[in-house]
Amino acid sequence: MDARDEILGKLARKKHGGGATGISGHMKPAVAMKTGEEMVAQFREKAAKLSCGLSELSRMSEVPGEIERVLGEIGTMPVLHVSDEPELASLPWEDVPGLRTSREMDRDALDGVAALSACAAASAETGALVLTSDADHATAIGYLPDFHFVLLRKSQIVSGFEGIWAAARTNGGNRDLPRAVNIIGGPSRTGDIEATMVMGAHGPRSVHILLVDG
Amino acid sequence: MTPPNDQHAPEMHVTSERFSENARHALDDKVLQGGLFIFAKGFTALREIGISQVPEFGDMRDRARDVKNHVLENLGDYLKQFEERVIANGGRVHWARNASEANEIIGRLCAEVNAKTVVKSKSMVTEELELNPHLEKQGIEVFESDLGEYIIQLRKEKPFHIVGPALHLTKEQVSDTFYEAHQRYGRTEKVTEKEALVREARIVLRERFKQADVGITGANFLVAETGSIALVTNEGNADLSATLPKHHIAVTGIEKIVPTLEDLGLFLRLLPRSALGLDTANYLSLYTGPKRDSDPDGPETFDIVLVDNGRSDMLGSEFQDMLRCIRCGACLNGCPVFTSVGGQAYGSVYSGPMGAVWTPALAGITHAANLPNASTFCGKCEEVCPVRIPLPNLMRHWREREFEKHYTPTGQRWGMGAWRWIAGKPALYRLASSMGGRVLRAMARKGWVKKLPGFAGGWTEMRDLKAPEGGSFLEQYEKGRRS
Repeated sequence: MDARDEILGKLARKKHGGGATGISGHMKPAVAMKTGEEMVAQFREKAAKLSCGLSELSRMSEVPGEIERVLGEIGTMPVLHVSDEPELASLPWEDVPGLRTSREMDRDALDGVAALSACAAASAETGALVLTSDADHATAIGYLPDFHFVLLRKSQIVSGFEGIWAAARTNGGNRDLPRAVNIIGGPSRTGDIEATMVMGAHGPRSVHILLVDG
Repeated sequence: MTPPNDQHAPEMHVTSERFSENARHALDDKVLQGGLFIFAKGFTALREIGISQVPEFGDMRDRARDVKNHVLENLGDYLKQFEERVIANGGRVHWARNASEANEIIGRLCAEVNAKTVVKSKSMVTEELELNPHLEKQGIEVFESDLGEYIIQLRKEKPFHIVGPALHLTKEQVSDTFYEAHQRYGRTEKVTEKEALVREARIVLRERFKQADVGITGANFLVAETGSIALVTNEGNADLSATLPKHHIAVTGIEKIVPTLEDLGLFLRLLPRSALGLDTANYLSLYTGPKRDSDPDGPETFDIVLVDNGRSDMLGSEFQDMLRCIRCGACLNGCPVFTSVGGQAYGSVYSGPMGAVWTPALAGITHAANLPNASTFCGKCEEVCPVRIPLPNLMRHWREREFEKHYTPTGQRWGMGAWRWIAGKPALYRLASSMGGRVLRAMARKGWVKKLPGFAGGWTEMRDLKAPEGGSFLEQYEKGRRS
């Protein structure tokens, strides 16, 4: 008998007759049930707790200028790698002649650079951003750059995990999920040496959210 | 539980026979004791602060217990559903009865793609299987990428804690290890500060991620309805392992399944809070199948190895509740034994209370009899468990089995046998206990016994025994004094 049949056979023989524990209903904590302005306020607070940077902008057209300003504060970072999402390509990059943009997304191009991507959602429950893979979004953009800027529209903020799943499913065609759903809670970190938190383990040292109205 | 000589019997190598000796060394190790303090006080406090902010935490634990019980009662059905969804998404599922079979499958998958290097993210199941030496024998170079696992891999040690594998080491020890290991990459300057050590590991491992032919990860959860694996990390190394190499293999136990994404949300709310008191881990990721045609990156193949290795034997036994475990480490951090002697003393990948139940099931009680006995039965482990596993009870079951099978030392067996005989005879028991009290009082100086005779002398070697006062319990009870 092959391993699959043997394991499944054993599990079937051990299956309890009848009295299986039911698990109807669902349970959501209050922290995952905020709506409206309260939800946005909680997102701000939780994202800050995760050490994310946050710029609040009223118009999409302010995004390039704000990125230039933040990069200027960090120091020299002459090139910004911009992900293929259409809403990013249409931003007024000509307004910031000092900031060169690149569309290169291969592993060597993304290694250690500054990059901008859009996202699928963000969760007010934890302050995390949700990035999903598709033709316009390489998963590596959330991991290889040193500085990751994420464009988030206020309407993309959801209350909690339940909203994340809904957003992820829609992006993957209702039932199925895209290959990668990455729920990113701030810069990469490790506490593996003497339990001291050090930022910038394997992923970005900085995650900066550009929160735009609408 | 499994008949001997079964070629598919569970396998896990342990050195738990040496628990007492290891524990003695651990207690004398000042560096280690410092590290243990972090778990005992720091992690426990973080957890308490974290969960105090979620008033529904207790109800969520009840629900998590019920969801896991439901899954265990229907495990085969959920595994079949999961398999079907993985295949529909273009992935493959492999089944392994035990460690040898799992290693053989993973070795074959690596050989098929002519793999020279493998990058791994932390997986306790692959530690259980001893996968790395198996792949190395095949001539494959294996790099652990979780910083803690990477450090202990370089030092050829076993993980100290399922969540913090290298927390028993000082930064000086890590510095020495890196200095020696990184010369081959042309890094000849010795770095000593924590930030610099993290940076150096990042630089060295970044190249390994980019070059590796295969990425191997575990899976914290398997989602039946979507055929996804869920990975939880703080460093982002699991995501790089699952994204950059051309081939991704996920290795995990058959018990890790949850029915739906909604259920997954429940466990993602419990795991980081129980481990470190955090609202969320840095990276919670779902991976479903290989790279889609239009995706700009991702692996070409997606293989999942489902490992039994003793788990199906636990199902339906008195140890079934243990299969609910989500490996948060809260029971280790709360345990007075773990936080006194540390993980290495257990001689098993799985340590602390969860390890004391899990290890005998996989390695056999003959090799791991010491572990269920390494408990004060204080109940803290059960109190903090997010899926409400009755750990002290399960340890007690192992003790009973061990006693039945005569694996306990003769002295202990003789003593317990004598106690049982005398306890069944009330008049004799009263006489013996009241005499014992009088003898102890006669031996005492100022109320303390400095040295007991015979094998009881072991007890007074390190401490004194308080001589009993005011007669035995029954004598006092009969006099009507209940204070």
